[in-house]
Amino acid sequence: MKWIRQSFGAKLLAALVGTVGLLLAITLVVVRTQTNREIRLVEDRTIQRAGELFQELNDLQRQQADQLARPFTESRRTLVMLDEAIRSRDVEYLSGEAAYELVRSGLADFGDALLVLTDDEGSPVISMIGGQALVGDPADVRPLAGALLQSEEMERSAYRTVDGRLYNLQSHYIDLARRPIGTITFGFPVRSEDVDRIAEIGDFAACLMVDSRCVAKSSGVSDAMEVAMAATLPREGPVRTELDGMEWSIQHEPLDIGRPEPGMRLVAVPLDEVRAPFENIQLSLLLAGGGALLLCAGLGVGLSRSLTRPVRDLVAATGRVAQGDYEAEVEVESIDEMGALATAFNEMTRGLLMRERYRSVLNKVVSQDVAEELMKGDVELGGENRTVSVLFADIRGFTPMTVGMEPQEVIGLINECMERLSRAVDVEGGVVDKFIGDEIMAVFGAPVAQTDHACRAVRSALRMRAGIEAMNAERVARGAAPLAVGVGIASGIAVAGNMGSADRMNYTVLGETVNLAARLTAEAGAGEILISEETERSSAAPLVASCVGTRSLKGFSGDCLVYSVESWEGLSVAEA
Amino acid sequence: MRRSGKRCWGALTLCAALMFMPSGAQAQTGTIEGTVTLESLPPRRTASRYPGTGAASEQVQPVPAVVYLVGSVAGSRAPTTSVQMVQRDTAFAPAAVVLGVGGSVDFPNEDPFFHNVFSYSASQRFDLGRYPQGQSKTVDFTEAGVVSVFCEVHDKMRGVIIVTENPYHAVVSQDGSFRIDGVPPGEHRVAFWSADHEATEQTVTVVAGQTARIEVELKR
Repeated sequence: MKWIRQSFGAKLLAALVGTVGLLLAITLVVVRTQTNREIRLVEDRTIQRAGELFQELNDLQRQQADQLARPFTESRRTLVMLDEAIRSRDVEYLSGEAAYELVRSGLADFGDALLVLTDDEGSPVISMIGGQALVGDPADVRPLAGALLQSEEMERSAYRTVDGRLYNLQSHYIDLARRPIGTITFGFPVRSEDVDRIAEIGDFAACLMVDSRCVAKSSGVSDAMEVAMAATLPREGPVRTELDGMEWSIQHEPLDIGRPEPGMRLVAVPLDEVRAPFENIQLSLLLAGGGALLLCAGLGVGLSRSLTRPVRDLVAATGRVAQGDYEAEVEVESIDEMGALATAFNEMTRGLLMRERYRSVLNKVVSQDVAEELMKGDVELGGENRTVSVLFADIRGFTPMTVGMEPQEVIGLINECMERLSRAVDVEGGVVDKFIGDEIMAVFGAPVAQTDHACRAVRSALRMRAGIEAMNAERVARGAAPLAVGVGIASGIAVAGNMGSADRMNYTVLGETVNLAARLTAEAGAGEILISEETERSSAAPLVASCVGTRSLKGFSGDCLVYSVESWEGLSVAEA
Repeated sequence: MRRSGKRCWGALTLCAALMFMPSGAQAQTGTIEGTVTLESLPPRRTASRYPGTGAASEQVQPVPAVVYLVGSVAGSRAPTTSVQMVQRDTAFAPAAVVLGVGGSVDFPNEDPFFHNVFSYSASQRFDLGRYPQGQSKTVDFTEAGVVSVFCEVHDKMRGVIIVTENPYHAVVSQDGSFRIDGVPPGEHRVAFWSADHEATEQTVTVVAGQTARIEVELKR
């Protein structure tokens, strides 16, 4: 699950696929539940219908029995005959008369119809099938007739098996002037064709069984099905089973056959037709759901890519910005939130870039320290007294040298020279205050205070001299005239600060020390470094300088002691 | 259930022959009298499924109960008479006739429509066919026994002809009482018959000049 937490695309994909999957799962569960409910409904309905149809067959056969019984029960003559014959047990006479009455009533046409006469105690006097007298009570009519005689009813019915065939029996009570004669029972075999007709109407398969043996069945019941049906007998309720690739629900209900062996009516309901529409729905659902899942996955991947690409671009761009590449920009592809973010990011980098440019420009225009000071916060006009060393370096004989030179050549020469000079300032931590024509002014000790500003200034001057010498070597090598620089350094109090207007100001130092340094520079010869007394005093031991006497300098009252710098012990100018 | 009567009668004839001395005097006879109670009949059963379609109609002709001595009685013979059982007003009149073996019954039809007389009784089975008013048919009864007669055309009509070997019998009156006079002394078997009840027999000892009383209830 870590990948889900880490990837926005994975989350989106999981959400989409999860939603569709959940929907599909719920729908499938609902369809399944509904299928089972429908199956139970059809089972119940079919079983009920089967019960009704069998009842109809039963009623029909019993109506037939009624109709056949009517001549016997309504004709006084026949009743008198039966009364006499049964009382006298004149079986021979009775069978003759009964056969005659059977022909008259039409029962003889029924072929295998059963007729049983009992006396008023229920004992069979004569049993006949198809007009032929049977021995004993093969249809077991005695309990049925006995119960009928005991009751107040006119008829009673039951199922019986005779010779492996199931008979639907109806016993009628007969009396003569309210004195019981006995009973007359008619039975009709329940044929497979009757069961078949019922099964066809009710759309099921049915089998009537006695002692687990089939006595009548619909045409749809194969031998294998008969076996399967018999196997369900010990179980209660509907049993679902698969036969010949079809699903059936088998249920059974007892038949009253009045024997120890159980008589059962088994009904098998085909479930395939019930299930088919639901199976179709389920299949369609699975296909549609699978398609939807694939679509979702595709959509999720596409969507997450289109969503995460700008994010990834932004992340990459942010990384570049973090590494200082303020030119990093992201493509704005849309007008949505991601687009707004990209636009905002671009504006931000543009702002950063602008700031960086300002900063680098500032660094070029002013020294880095000043630039830092300036960018730190509000820059204010005004100054403060600082102890600094001010250095001026001037290219000697520059103007005569540039006579006849192209302006670009002049600028190139100055730049080449100033480059080396300002680098010497930078190395010692000084600040190039300004360039004045062929002159450079540098300050040490402001804006950042430096206790060894004098030493730094002197070392810087020595580096300048070394730099110019190196430059001259190059110039001489290519046939150009060598240059010489005069350097003057003065140390002391100076006013340091921003000077100018509120809109435009310069950070600079002003004061006597600056003037002294300028004067000393003017005094210095080519390659000479002149420093003030104060500077000499402020410098430490490694300085090797000689006093060159006092000079009367313009703007200064009295003579000033001036020193000329020789070297700085241990200073390796090559470092510059 | 009816028992076979013939063997019974044979035994009683022998018994009577042994016990009775010939005697012609009236004073030497006794009387049998008593009452016959009939158990009431059960309510009629009706088919619940087809109300209104009963078997035979509810109204059947009432037939009085009959009391008679079984078998022959020594010293007496039943008269071989010819009796009429008229078919009048859709009824047999009288409904019960007792006559001796060898007697005959005429069945004249006095109703202005056809009647029929038939019997399925084992002792005398006959069917006189249908015949119109004014005609009469006669049946000879040569064997003792009870012969129930019916009319095929009219379900309600019924009657009984009891053929005996002796003249001692009585038709039970409406109140259930009967009386048989002039019965020779000795042990006799008395039969009680009713159309809707189980016939029964009792042994009674008749003493000359006395009356033997019998109370009988016939079960349905």
